[in-house]
Amino acid sequence: MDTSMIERHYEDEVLISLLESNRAASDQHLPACDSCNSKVESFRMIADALADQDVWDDREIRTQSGPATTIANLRAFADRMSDEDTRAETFLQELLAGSREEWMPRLHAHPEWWTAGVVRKLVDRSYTAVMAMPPDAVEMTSVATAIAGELDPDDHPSDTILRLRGSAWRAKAYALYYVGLFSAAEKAVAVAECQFSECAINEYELARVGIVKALVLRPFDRISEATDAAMSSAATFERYGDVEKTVSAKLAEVHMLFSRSQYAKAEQILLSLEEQMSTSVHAGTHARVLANLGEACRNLGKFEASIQYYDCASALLDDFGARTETVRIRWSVAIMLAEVGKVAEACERLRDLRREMVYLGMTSEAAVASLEVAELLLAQNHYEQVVEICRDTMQTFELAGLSYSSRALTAIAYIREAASQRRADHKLVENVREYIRELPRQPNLLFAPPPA
Amino acid sequence: MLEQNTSDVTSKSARPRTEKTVRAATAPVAPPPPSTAADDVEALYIEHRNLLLYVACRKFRIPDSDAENLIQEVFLSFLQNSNKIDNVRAWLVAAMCNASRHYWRAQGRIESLPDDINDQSDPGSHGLADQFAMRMTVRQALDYLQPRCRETLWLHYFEGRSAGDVARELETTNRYAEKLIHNCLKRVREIYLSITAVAK
Repeated sequence: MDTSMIERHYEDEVLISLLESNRAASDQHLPACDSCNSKVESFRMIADALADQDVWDDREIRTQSGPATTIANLRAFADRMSDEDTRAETFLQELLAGSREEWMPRLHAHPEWWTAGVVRKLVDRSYTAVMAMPPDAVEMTSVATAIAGELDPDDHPSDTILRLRGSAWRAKAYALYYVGLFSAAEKAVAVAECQFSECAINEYELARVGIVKALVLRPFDRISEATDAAMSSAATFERYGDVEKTVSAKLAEVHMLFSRSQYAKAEQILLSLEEQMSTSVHAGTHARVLANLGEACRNLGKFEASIQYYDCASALLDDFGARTETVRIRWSVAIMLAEVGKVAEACERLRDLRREMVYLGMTSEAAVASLEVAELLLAQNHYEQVVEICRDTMQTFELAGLSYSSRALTAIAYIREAASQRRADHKLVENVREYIRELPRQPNLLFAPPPA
Repeated sequence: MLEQNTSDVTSKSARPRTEKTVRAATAPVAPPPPSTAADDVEALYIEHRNLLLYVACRKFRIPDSDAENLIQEVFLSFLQNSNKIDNVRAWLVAAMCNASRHYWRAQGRIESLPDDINDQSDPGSHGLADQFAMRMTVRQALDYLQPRCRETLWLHYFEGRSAGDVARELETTNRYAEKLIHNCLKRVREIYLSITAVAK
């Protein structure tokens, strides 16, 4: 290419002529010259706008009421919200004191706490709590939905209360999903959708429900519906200019690819998200992208890259005190260590994780982690240790008092018996582990031992 | 919905048809006091009201008398959003599109919709807010043009007529009409850039 063509800029006349004669695309100078290219694009943009009837419409817009009234209304609403929120902070200190079992009875003794501000504050707190102590988040959202359900919509302007109820049920769905109560979470999603559907401006809120819906449907293997929900949410967030939420929705889409074992495709999406997030201020979302990259790489056999991604994600999440997330990441690393033959290290890590999971109320996850240890120990014929692990796990289920505890106990007792008679094997443990993993989704699922 | 007064305080003087100069406001700026949520929402409302009115009334053909109410609903929804919003303008414009579509769906139950309601903006297109803001500014820029320049641009870019047609319409030579088209496009771009610079 002739360098003089690049160095000498075109006059405006030339640029407009190129545009008018549709020769801009075939010109040699424009692609090499940012200045001329951007100028011709601005001429094109204005010429296109001039073809739009609206830019020639010089009728005045005569609104019935003016800015002064709207400003007064908006200020009054903002002040009211701010006042409710300030008072709610004080109420919450008292309401959330002590163990979560005390919260609901205490709420019923204080009618003055039944306010929109308390609902907003509980919903906000539940999203932090879900990372640190998920059962607390479930209880917070139960309190929030109880209050929101009793508030009178006529006491609040516009569709404030419908919106508030929708937010509370969405937060509840998320918290329930987090503790593995998927059926209840699905019902909560439906209630949230129903509340927001009644609101005039609801796309953004429904898109947020869509992400939770995608997460909740995945365990039921309703992958197609979940993918649709995630993609639709991502498109809405993109339109609203919300980078963080767009990435969250695309992560939900990536999870569906994981479900279909399409790891290479998932990796491509994640790498582009990682590039997008590398300069972002949303460190929590960035951490989730990195953790998912770790998962994709692990399944693609790129173990070193995987550990590196997991470590970065874990470091970012530690800064937030997002314990449940770091636990999940450390769990993935432990499994990977076992896969690459570092069995002793994997066992040690899984045992530590199990204790932490029990503390965090992640009962079925703790049981699955225990059975992963059991499986590794059986490979080394350590039957006594397997019996011990089964005993601890059964105790955890008894204390948790979950709807499916008794079924889980039956399955684990079966391994314990087999281990004590030194006839438990890898196939049996794997069978029970998958059964326990399935129980939160299907609490009535019956345990069937594998054929001998 | 919050109560709305029925008095009109927004009527704008008739649009000038002669060219005028675009100047930046140069008043001294005092350090701002700490803002409350009410101050913030007022500032955002003032900053975005014209754009949102344009979206509602021009893109969605919402009757002028109802547009202000929709803007108020958009801001009420904005205030209740617990999320930190990355791009406020994009959020507000997208919410205004949502409110406008809801308005027509509700009206559709009692009267027929405007024929072109489906043509009004592609909700799936990205950078919708930027596009609306740009078109609103071009519309504003046209106010500053000489009538002959406006007519030239109208004939060529809106009606799609050739330089020869424009020459016949304006009773001039082809060569001069071509020059006029170029100069007027340059001029409207200059004004557009001045307006956006002032806004920044």
